[in-house]
Amino acid sequence: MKSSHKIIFSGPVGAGKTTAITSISDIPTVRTEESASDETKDLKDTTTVALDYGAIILQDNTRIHLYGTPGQKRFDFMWEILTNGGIGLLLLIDGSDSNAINNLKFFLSSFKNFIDKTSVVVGITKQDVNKKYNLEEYQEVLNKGLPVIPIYEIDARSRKDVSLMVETLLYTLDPKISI
Amino acid sequence: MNIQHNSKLKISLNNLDDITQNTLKFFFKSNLCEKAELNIKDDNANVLIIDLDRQYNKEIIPNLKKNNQFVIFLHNEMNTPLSEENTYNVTKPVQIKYLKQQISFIAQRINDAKKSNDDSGDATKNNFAAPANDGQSKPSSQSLGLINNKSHTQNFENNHLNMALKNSTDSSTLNQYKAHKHVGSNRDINPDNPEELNKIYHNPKKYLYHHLVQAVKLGKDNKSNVLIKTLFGNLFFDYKSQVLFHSFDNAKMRYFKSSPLFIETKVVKASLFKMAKKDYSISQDAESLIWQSAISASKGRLPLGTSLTQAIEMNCWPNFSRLLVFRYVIQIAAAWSTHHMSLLDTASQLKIPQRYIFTLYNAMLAIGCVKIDNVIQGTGKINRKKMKKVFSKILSHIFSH
Repeated sequence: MKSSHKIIFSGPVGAGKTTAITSISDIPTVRTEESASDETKDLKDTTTVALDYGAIILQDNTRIHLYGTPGQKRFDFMWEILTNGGIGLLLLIDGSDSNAINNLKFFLSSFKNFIDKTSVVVGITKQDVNKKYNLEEYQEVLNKGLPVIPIYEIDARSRKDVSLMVETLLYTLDPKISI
Repeated sequence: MNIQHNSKLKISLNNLDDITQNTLKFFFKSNLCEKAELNIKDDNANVLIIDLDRQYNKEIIPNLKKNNQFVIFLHNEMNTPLSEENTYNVTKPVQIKYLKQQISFIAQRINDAKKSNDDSGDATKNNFAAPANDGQSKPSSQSLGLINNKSHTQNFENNHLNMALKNSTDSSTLNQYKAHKHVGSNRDINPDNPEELNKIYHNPKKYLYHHLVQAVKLGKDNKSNVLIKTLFGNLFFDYKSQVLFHSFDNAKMRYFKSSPLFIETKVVKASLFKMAKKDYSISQDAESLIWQSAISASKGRLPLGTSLTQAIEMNCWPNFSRLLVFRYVIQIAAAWSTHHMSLLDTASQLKIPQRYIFTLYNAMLAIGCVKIDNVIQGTGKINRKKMKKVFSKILSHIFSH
């Protein structure tokens, strides 16, 4: 039996987790979206209530599972379950949200144990829509010293951008990977 | 040697810089040019490719027709091309389609002349049949001294590009080579050899990127717009939008970014920006232009005085999703973001040619993401993860799409 590996996508509601998984998944993404009923309704019509699932299928049929966590904080009990055994975290933050900096702090803190054991790459989405902060302002939130957390402005619909995040995640875990 | 009808032209590469030399060798050794191939023996070349902007043996030109040879001059847009008999011109940076076009013209001329000679049955009228290589018309080895390619060939055999050539000439190889244009062709140096050390440094003050960095700093410190006065025209930095305005078209800007022309450049505060459209019709994001300019200026070199053994202090990741990237940049930045490594450690640990590391360092320094830590020495070693095999496979999968 092939061993399983997973990459975790997380971030607040509307940051583009589902879209990002769809961008690089080799299989149709399994979505568990439902009509939004709580405060999420103000942000979008549907939202992920359990998890999103996609996969990268390697040449030897090894499956790299892509899990998207639900964005609402009330589902945070699922985050630990999902991250168990994960390769690392891709954290997406909606840059058009005036609360974006706080969201970044919150998610980095929530996933701290997992990040300490693995690695994280941050993608700021929707910077071209209604940018609330410059990249430098996000960088100031992060701890000084090593490791330096990668932050990119990305378009979650772009396979190239999401692939860049995955590439960065892997190299931060092991800069010596050879292809 | 007489050239046969429809046989390949023999090309000799002369006085070219290493990048152009290697690029053209790649081009002629691959199957990308059906009409020409690299000449092995210098005096048999039909076509000499010469860089007009560098020193070359001018005695060759008047004898071209007599020697049944042609020259393709590579020249900067600003340099007036020669229009002597049997000479053709291609503007730099060389675009392969134009080079192929000129080669086709020459091949056509040779074939037309050959046909015409065949028709008249008089072989002695064969002006373009082959480069003269015997008797009085043979150019002396002295006059062809500049065509001696041996040292370049030796370099070429050892360099990185040759590795790619051995594998294939498909598009992935081309893409792989394409990356080299950003990092130059310097070979790894031995830091203990002072002569070699000189090759890896440049003086930033001579390059555009240094003055752009100064302008952004001045703008930030004074919260004001800034004018960058150069001998070739001005650039305007708009502090609020972090945008640089200028009037240099792509070709000029490409040239300015890589040329050491800016020693007399002045950076001054500008209180008002009266938009004169004809003077400042082009706008570019400042960080992106600085980044590109620093790469073009570096070409595998470091700013004067950069330590090769002290650790690199990285304080932020460049926004690689919106910047020009070349091979290995993520890997190198990842090493710096997780380990105290010097420039030399990075090259040896990652087994990456130094020129990639030096170019990235120069660009990241220009946008303020790295500097040399004056206290900590590079400690080197990178510990590997257990899952390295699956990581390699994932990366291969990503790059193959």
